[in-house]
Parts: sequence; structure tokens; C-alpha cells
Amino acid sequence: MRMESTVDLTDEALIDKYREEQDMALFKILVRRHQGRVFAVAYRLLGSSEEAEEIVQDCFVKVHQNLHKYRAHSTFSSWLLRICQNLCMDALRMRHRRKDIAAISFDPQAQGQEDENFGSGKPVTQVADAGPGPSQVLDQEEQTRIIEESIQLLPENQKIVLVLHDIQGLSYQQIADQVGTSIGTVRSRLHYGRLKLKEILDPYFSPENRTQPLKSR
Amino acid sequence: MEKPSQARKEDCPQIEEELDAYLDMELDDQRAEAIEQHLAVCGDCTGRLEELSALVSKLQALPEPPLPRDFGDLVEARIKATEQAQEIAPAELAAPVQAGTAKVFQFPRPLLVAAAALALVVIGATFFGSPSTKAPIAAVPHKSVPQVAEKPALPVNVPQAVEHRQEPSPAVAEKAVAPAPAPAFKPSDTPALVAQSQGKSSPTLTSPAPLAVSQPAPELIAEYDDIVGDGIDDYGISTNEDGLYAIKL
Repeated sequence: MRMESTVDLTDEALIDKYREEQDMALFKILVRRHQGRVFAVAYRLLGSSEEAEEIVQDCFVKVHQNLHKYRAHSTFSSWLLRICQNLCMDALRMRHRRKDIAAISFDPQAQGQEDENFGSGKPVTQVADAGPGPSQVLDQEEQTRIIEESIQLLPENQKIVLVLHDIQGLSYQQIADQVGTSIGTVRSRLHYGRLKLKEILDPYFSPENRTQPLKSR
Repeated sequence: MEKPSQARKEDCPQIEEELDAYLDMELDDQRAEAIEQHLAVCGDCTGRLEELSALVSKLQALPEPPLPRDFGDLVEARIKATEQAQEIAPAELAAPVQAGTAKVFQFPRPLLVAAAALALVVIGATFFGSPSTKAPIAAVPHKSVPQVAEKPALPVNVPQAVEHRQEPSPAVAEKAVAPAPAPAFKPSDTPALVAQSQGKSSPTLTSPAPLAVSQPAPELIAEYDDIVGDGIDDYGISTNEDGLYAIKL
């Protein structure tokens, strides 16, 4: 009965109600309302479903721990997204520290065996796994995979801005608030991020390049 | 494709940098108008804008990654676990002796006192009546070794810590001390033992270091056990991670 009325409440009203009643069911409404977006951002920034799942849980636990600090002068979703983004940054830093994932230098013109080059710090000529080359018609699923993998090759600061703007639809101002930087910096990062992403994707999507296999170019 | 004039070509790098913001409608009206005027005559920049637009469209068209599961219950479980952990942690911090440490020391503590007393006896007996002891000897506080001190002045500068250890349970100390003046005791043997335990040829008996109860020399006590025989043999010395303690055999 109560659930029918509470699901229609705004985030801020739900938080107020949760503060009063301490009913976990109310908090779970918030979780279910935003889990998709948090997962999507984490997945786009980290490129890993498993890590993104961890981030979603950590994010909401952190939200719960800091709920008393939340003030309604910023929307709950932007506050949540900021926490998610910070957790993702921590995860990326941790990943760099552990060197779990070898840096890949992307160079379509590089020579040599892909398998030998992968993880060795040498340039690789393909971002995607072995499979149909860019010369073949890319179905939607493969396009998605190539774009997702290419996004992971961007520098972190460019990747965040690009994901938040082009995929999550935040404005420059919102991103600047979120990341804690100026609009000019957001604009610059987005510009160079797109430029780099375009360079990476050109061999796959450029019409003139799609007539011959990538490795032969 | 129409080539831009020299003046317009110079504008291209600046325009190119602003194309993103123009596409995203994040430019003010004045700059947006200037770009539109440039685009009207510059095919290169128009081409760049189209490429940029195609890229952004691809990104925007990326499907939302499917949510692998519902996180409501998982998050609830994590929150409860975190809260429980936080409830336990402060309790441990507030009363470390009662909660955590007490368990560790509960069993050996009385035995530690006994061991301390035993060590004291051993030390006292070791130095008692030693003919080779010629080092200047400090006066021993009377209550530090009550049983043994009935004999001539104990040639040991017993550290203050020993007194404190002994005080809390005199009964236990007495029990351990009682067999000390056993007939099998050979005072002449003790300097060698002391020297061995200290690793010195002529031990300085006033040095408090080897006598500290907190750091008793186990081999010294073990050897003393063998020497004194009767009565005291009922006690063994053992150690664990918390330190030395005596056990009744």
C-alpha cells in the first residue's frame, strides 16, 4: 500500500522519508531507480561488467553512509553520479597500480603479430579481438563492441567527459560541476577526446577504408 | 569543394576547436553565428563537422548495457554487514581489555605472575652467596624479594618493575618462592650460569637488563629448574606468543 505511493516520490522526498522512517524498502526504491544509470556509467568508464557491478554496490553503500551529508541544493542523481565517478576513478587508479591491464598503444600501421604485441607495450593494429575485420560489414553488436573498446583507450580525463556528455547526456556545466573543473576544460577535453576516438575508429568506419582489410593497409 | 579564402583558412584551427561546442549547442549566440558564417564558405570545416556529428551519433546510439541483476537486495545486505562491522569495531576500541585482549591474557596472567616470582627467585638464588661477585652492589629494596632477602643482602639491583609485578599476588609469589632455599642449591654454579645467559665473561650484576621480568632469560630459568630439584621442579616454564608463563606440572 505504502509502496504504491512512495514509488512516485521524487528522489529528494524519498530521502527525507527514509531519514524519518529508516525503512530500507525506501532506500531500495532509490537503488532500483538509479542502478541502471550507475551501472551504465561504471561500465562505460571501466569497460568491465564485473567491476561495474562492484561499483554499483559500493556506490549505493557509500550513498547510504553519507546520506546525512546530502543537501538538496544539488540533485540526488548528480550527487550519485559524482560518487560513482569517483569510485570509478579509484578503480582505474588501482588498476594502473596493479598493472593488471597492460597499456595498449594503438597504431593501425604497425607491423608484427598481434598476439605478440598485446600486453607487451608494443603497438597493436587492432583494438578488437580476432574476428571479422573492419572490411566486413559490421553488425550493430560488433560496432558497439568496437566503440566500447575504443573508448577504453582514451586518457581517463577525456574518457570521463566523453562518457558523461555523449553517452549520459550531461551538459558542459553539469560535467564541470561533477568533475570539479571549468567549462573550458570540459570543452577542451571533449574536443581532444573525440578527436582521438575518431582517429581510433576511422580504420573501422571510414567508408574508403572499409573496402580492404585493416591489416593489409 | 570550395576553398576558403586566405583569411578564412586562418580561422579554421580556431573554428575546428569550437566545432564540438557548436555541435553540442554550448556556444553563445555570437560565436555560434561566427561559426555558421565560416561553415557557409569552408568545405573543410563543414566536412569536419559532419564527421564529428557522425561520431557523436554513434556514441549516443550505443545501447544501454543490460543490467546483470537487481542490486536492491545486494545493496541492503552490504549495508547491513557494514553497519554490523561498524558496531563491533567501536566496542573493541572502547574496551580493548574487556573485549579483545582479555581473552588472550585471561589464562596466562596468573601464571605470568607466578613465572615472574619464580624468575625473581631464580635470580635471587643465582646471585645469593656468590663468592665471585665483586661488583658494586646496590641496596635491594626490602620488599622486592621478601623470602630470599631474609638471607644476607641480595647482590642484585632488582628493577622497579619487579616490585610492581610481585605486589598484586603475593600468595602466588610465595608459592613459587617457597622452595627457593632448597638444600640442593649450589651457589657456586650460578655465576657461570649468569655469565652464560648474559654472554659475558664477567657479568655486571647491577645491570638491570637481564633481570627485567618482562624479558626473563628462559634458559636461565630452565637451567635453574634442573639445579634446584625438589619442589620447584613441579613448575615448568613455557612460552606462547604472549610471553613467558609458568605451568604446574
